[in-house]
Amino acid sequence: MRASTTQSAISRIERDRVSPSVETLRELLYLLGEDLELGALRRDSGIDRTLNARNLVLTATERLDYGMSFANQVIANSPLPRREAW
Amino acid sequence: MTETRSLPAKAPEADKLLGPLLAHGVDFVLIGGQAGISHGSSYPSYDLDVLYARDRDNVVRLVAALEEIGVRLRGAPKDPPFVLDARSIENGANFTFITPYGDFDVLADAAGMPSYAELKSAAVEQEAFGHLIKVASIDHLIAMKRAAGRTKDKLMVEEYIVIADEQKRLGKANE
Repeated sequence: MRASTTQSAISRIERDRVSPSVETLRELLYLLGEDLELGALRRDSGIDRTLNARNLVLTATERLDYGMSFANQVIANSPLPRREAW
Repeated sequence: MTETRSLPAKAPEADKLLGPLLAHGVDFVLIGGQAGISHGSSYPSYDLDVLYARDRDNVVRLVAALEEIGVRLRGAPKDPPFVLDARSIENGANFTFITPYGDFDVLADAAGMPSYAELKSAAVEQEAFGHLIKVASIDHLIAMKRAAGRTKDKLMVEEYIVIADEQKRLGKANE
């Protein structure tokens, strides 16, 4: 059995010159006795969803007030230089 | 060029900055980190950004509101002084001010934004400090953060995507 592609195309894949299509990859793997299995996982972005869920329970006023307090706390404790005040 | 990072003397007082805009009937939309917070973001924001409509009447109203707040250009030399009037606003576009209530960025244009009309049309109205405020949609905030492209913006995009998902989930739950 042969893959329905050319030897030169396979050579380009082997030399990492081109990335095969999913269908070509599926066929090549099939010829090697393997099945291609694709999947999708939720990206781990490091975001704590519970924080956002908690914020969404608050009103917009409460969110903005809390945000201001939090930012002021960061400013008070940051070693970074301060810009001019009014 | 190495960016020298610094922080303002204090976080913006949103009610003191938005109140005069609303009282003077300024056509504006809240964007940036404060808009993100208003949507549920946990990232702190150290200034307040609004986009404003550029028509003459609105610029006149904006000037009246800025006079009431008290503004001067951030980081600009005091001489010659910045003259706050409609002509100055029309001759410029984006202004970064320092005010008694924190840093205040008043913008006509932001990277990644659609037209002002489209941005305003998709904005959500949120009640804050006893007023209804137009806040840029989470999708438009994502587009603007993507266009800004700084490391902190990329991190915020990740969070805003989570918030958009959560909003959709809650919207469905409330249907």
